[in-house]
Amino acid sequence: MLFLLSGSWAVAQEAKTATIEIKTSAQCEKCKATIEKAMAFEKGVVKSDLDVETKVLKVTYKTARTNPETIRKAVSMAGYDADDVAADPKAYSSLSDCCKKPEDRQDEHAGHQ
Amino acid sequence: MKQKHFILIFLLAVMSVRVLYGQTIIKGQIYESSDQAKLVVLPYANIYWEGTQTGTVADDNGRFSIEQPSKSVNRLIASFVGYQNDTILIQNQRSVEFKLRKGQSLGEVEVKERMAGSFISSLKPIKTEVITTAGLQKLACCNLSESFENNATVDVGFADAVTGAKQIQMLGLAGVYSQLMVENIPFTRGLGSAFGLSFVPGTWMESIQVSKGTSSVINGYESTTGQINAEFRKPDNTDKFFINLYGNNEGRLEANVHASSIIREDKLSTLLLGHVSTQFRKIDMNNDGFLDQPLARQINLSNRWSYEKHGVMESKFGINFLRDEREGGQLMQRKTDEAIQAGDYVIKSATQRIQVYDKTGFIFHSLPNTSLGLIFSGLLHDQNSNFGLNDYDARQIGFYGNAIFQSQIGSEAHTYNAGVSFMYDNFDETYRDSSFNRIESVPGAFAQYTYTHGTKLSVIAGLRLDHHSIYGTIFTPRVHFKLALAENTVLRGSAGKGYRSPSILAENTGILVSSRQLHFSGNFKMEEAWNYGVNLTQTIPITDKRKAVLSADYYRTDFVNQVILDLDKDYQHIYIYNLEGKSYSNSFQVNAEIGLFEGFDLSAAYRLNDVKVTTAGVIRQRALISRNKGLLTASYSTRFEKWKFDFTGQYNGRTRLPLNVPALAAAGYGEFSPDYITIHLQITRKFKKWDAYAGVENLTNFVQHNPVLGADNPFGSDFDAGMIWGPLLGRMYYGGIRYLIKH
Repeated sequence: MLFLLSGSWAVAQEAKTATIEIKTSAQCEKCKATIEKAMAFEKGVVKSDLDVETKVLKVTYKTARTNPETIRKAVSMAGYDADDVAADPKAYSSLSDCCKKPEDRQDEHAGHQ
Repeated sequence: MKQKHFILIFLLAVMSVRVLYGQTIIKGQIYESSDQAKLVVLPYANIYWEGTQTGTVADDNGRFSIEQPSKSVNRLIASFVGYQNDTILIQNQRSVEFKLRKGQSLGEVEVKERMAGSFISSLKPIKTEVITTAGLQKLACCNLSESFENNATVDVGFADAVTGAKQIQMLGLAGVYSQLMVENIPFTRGLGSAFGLSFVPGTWMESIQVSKGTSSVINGYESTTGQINAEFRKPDNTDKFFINLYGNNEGRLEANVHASSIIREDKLSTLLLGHVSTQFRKIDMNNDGFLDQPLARQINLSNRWSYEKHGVMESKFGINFLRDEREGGQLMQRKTDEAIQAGDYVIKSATQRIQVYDKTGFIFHSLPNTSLGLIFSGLLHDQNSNFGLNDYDARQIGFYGNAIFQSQIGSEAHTYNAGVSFMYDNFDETYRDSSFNRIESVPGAFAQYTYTHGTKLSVIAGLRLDHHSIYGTIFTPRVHFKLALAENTVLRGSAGKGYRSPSILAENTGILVSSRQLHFSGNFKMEEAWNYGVNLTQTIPITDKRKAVLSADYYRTDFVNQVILDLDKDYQHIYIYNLEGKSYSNSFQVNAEIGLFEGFDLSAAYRLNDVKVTTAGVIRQRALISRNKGLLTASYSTRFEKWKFDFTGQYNGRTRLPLNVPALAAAGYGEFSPDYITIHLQITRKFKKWDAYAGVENLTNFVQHNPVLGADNPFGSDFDAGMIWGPLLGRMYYGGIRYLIKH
């Protein structure tokens, strides 16, 4: 089973990659982790990096295995807007308070001690 | 086979529900900050109001409730060692959720990517190691008996060479001296001792808490050497659906399925846990004609319910059903029935268990910190078995009830528990042509006082008084303390008494698979021992994200009375009698855990057990117990745990073998068994919705040679399959998948 996995990996490594930038609704470091984790487990994604300041997510992916549309959809399913694709409502509602858009927050966190 | 009685009993139990009076009570739950959608509960964290001494400790599920002393005190802080503090400003909300991030940095926001496999709770006065789901998944197979391979505190080994029964040891003493509980309900009392560990499927468990030494008097007079409590998955906070499929090259297949449904949000939920497994391949690596492990089939079902009336009461109840069948012995050539016909040595065992339970907690709003918990459990255990020509049939009808009241005296610094309990067991055992019927009924009362001075000092003093229908009055005193010597240095100690009533046949399957004659002498008394222990835990922060934890402990157990199985007197008998002389155990252990670099954890432990007992009139090292043990574990995971690699290496020292056994000498043994090393490896790959894992157990392929003495003549005088000191199964490869759907 392991050999099979590593085999398919080796083949996939050789494929062509491309990089896109997606404007998200990320709010904080926690959102960065959520989104980057979602990307890490997304098929075809090689690398991702979210800049919290600009809310821009940079994704490097294998062109043979996925496309920008699928990646935006995955960001949406993690609970965040991705360019013109709105966040999946169910995923958004289960985000912790600090990751929601300011107008939707209930609690005010006083910050870390 | 006797007529079956089904007794349905209802009961209740408790959780430490703490509630407070006054105008404002804040309830909440604490999680580990995690980037997954699924929240991981963080138990035992501290919660306190900024600038005050008012605080509380979250329970096993990370739940807490705390009173707001006044509107001006409005910053609620959650803290836990190894995690960053978090503060929530309380305005009008009555319920809050904390998500604590790992690491001790102050300013920087740190992202938690991994969950520790195990940790030592820094707050409980009783030192408690918590094995988390992540820890349980490091060794994917199969049930509670495999959950301790990477833990130095608990040893697990086969009880004999044919039935597949496994037994644990703590402090170098048999597992029966520690108390095994599932959700704080005694689990393997009486007949459950033999195969009980294999009745708890690995994936059902959310966590296991292990504590050494005597534990709180609340749970009874048992737990002389320690307590193990397994928490199952909870209906109200588990995945919607989970399936685990497992297989290995020795012919074991296993499936675990969990399905949960929230019927009414925050009110009523239910969870169905299912397990089926089979050992279908006949394996005889050592060519002695005996199966190395029995053919087995098990079906195990549990339906759990959770009901909550917010702020008033909480109830968890359910029913468990199990059927377990195994067939072992000389089955390489023939089918079971044919082998019996042909006069071969065959063991057969069929066990059925039904358990119902209820744990209910009530909260009193008129008094601060006051609650009442009720626990009830009813058990029917029925076992029919043959060991060669010997039949052993047993049935136990048991009832357990415990009512625990908790409140405070004046302030939160002084809390107490008091309550009453009742245990009833009706045993009906038949071995060959002797029957061992007995009814044990034990009403009891207990009280326990806890003094807490912030996080610095806590002291627990407890007493219980029970009246046993056979053994009379039992008085159990116990004390525990925890003292924070410095910010990262914690000293703990305990002293107390433990008792248990012996169930000789059920607890020692090894003596049933031997030609040795059992020779019982005297009326057995209750087993009784003192246990004392100290331990020191030192946490050393290395960087924001990594730390080292060093700990050392020493425990001594001194038996006042013990039922001795004397294997040393002569090889044709096993003499069973009350202790004449001394019996004690000294156990010394050191542990070091260190996060070497991001994603890489290393732990090492060394343990010395000096266990002595008087057999054949002389005090000597207890047979088949190894004096030295070493453990090394390493775990590496890539970012987001996409790949995970786990290594577990164990060194087990030699053990003393029983004296004057010609068959041992004939098999080439001297005074001691050899020492050996075992290694387990596992690789896990996480995908979006599922995980795949593969591994190898016992990589060094070390097995005990000649585990069945006199295997060529099982009805002759040399036959003995009960002298086990090492692994019975060779190198084994396994793999499996887990798939889950979240709510």
